Amino acid sequence: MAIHELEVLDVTGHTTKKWDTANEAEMEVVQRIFEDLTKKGYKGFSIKKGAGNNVTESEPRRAFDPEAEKMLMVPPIQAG
Amino acid sequence: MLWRFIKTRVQDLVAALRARQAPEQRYRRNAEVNRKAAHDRAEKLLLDYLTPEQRETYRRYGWFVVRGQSGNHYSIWKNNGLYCNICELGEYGQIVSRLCAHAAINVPMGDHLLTQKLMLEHHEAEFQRVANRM
Repeated sequence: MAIHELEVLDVTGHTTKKWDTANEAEMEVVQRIFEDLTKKGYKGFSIKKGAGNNVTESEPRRAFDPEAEKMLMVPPIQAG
Repeated sequence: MLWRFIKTRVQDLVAALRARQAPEQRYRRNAEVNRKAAHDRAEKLLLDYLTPEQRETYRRYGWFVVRGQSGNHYSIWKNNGLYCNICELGEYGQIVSRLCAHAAINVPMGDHLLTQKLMLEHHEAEFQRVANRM
């Protein structure tokens, strides 16, 4: 059993949703969040972490990856 | 007698005014605390995503360099706000142009910088298309 995380950047810094691959209901909720945000223009990334919580690898993802250790959603961009 | 009446009325008015302002002041205080907490959370998250070299320059000078898929390098600055805070660097590290694009929603500065970093690293063409160039 492993706990996976989806982090969504927002006004609070970020909001974290967790899921367990053994728990289908949890996974469906997070998957729905991922898909809803993707439709709104957010970009998804799967993240691998190393020692000291530091990110060692980030890969763009078009679809929800239930096996990803961690996923991050960043908001769409606009010209400044 | 009249003086005592006026004094009481003034005291009542001051008390009423303070009571009216109290929720607003409390709201402002809470908003400031929440804003600071969000800023700190975003800053911490950004630092997790930076390489040791990027973290070093960010802490010391307020900028870090990222490499796009095209091989181009960009320096992302936090000190001047979001207005053209990205420099596209040339072959020798000289500034070729300044780019201006950021998260389209209200997020703390650290989240804006993280969004710019990940977009430049993985969706460089889209970032270049959206950004204003100076």
